[in-house]
Amino acid sequence: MKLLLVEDDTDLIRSMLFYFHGAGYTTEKAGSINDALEKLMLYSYDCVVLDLTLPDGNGIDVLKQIKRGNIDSGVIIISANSNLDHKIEALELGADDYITKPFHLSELNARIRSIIRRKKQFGKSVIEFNEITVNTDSNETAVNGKNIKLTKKEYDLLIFFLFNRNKVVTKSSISEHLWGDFMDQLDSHDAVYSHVKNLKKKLGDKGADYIKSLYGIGYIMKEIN
Amino acid sequence: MEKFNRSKKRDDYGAQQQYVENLSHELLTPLTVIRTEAELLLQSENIVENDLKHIDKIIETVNRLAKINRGLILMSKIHKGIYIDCEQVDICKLTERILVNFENQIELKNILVEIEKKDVVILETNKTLIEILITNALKNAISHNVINGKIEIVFSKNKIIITNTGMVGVKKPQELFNRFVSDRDSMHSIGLGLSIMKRISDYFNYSLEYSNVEKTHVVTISF
Repeated sequence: MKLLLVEDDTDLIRSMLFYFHGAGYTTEKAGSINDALEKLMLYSYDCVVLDLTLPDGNGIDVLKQIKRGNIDSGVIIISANSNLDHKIEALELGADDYITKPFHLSELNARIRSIIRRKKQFGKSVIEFNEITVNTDSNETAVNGKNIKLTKKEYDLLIFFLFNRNKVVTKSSISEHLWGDFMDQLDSHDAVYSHVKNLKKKLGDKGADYIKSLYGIGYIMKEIN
Repeated sequence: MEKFNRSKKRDDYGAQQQYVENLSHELLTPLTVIRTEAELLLQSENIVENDLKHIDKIIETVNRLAKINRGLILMSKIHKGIYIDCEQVDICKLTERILVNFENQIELKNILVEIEKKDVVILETNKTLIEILITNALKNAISHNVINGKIEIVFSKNKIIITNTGMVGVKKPQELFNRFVSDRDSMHSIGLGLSIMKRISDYFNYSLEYSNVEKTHVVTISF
């Protein structure tokens, strides 16, 4: 999977490159509109992560160019502006998603995965992890081929874990993923704990072992060693 | 001369608000960097439990900063009149919809929520702001509540009264609405949330009152 990260802040681009490289993506960076357009002409990417405030103009122009040039790449906008109008404008222009700063890397990663899945579909809409299968069309989850009943929140949580497998996800990022950013931390952390507990129970003995708690700071979903 | 001074003062205030908003936006990228670096640090394999506690603190503090920053941006936007569009909003329905968002938190504390509709309250108002106002009011009623507590919501003519059980009040009610005053004994900083409520109420000329008798807290919003 190939990503183009368009962002002019050198510190932020460094963190993102580091993280996405570790998550198995091939990543390239562009620090300006010109830089981004040049890369887009030469190479193809599965997804472009596009900041809007760039030194040589508004990142929206890159989006427009992608659409005009029929470039087959997903686009997720990262922006400092949480204004609803901007979001709608970007989505109407053909962006696949929109995330506002300060975001969590795990949230950005989950959204990129979701965009790439939608674009490519990989022939099927099933996410697999050993004996766990999730059908993202029918929203059905099965363990060893047997359907299990998850609540909406548990389902969202499982997808979030699956998209971020082998990575530590913090309680805060889970809480923001499930309830948005308006929830007070402490209350939602208790709720995160109880949802994780219930999800683990439903995933069965083996399934439960995939999700490990990390001293109260977060969780990681990975293979059992 | 006096008139000139007054209008200059208003311009200065407007410029200052714009400056605050610009600075708040400038903070968003560095905040993202701190958050992402902390997330990166967490991925390290040879990290020990004690280090995790420090990283957790960093993440928690970034969250707090992000929240304060969001509040500042919202306040500048209200001042700039961005939320000027009005539409008819059914306050009872809106409240019920917001409560659904909080159902996990309500369930965890086993809070009993009682709703009494004496009248249907329909307002011509800005939907975004009224939603923030009611969300903040309910959020306070839930997060400052106790296990097995109670929330009572009464809709009457142009009024919503939210009563909740909680701890004995520690601050003078009128002080609570001042910006950034927070109840330090509680784990949450509630100052900003309340000052946002106050700002929105003032913007629409709604009256916002808070009172408490021992462990019972009452917020009344009159439209």
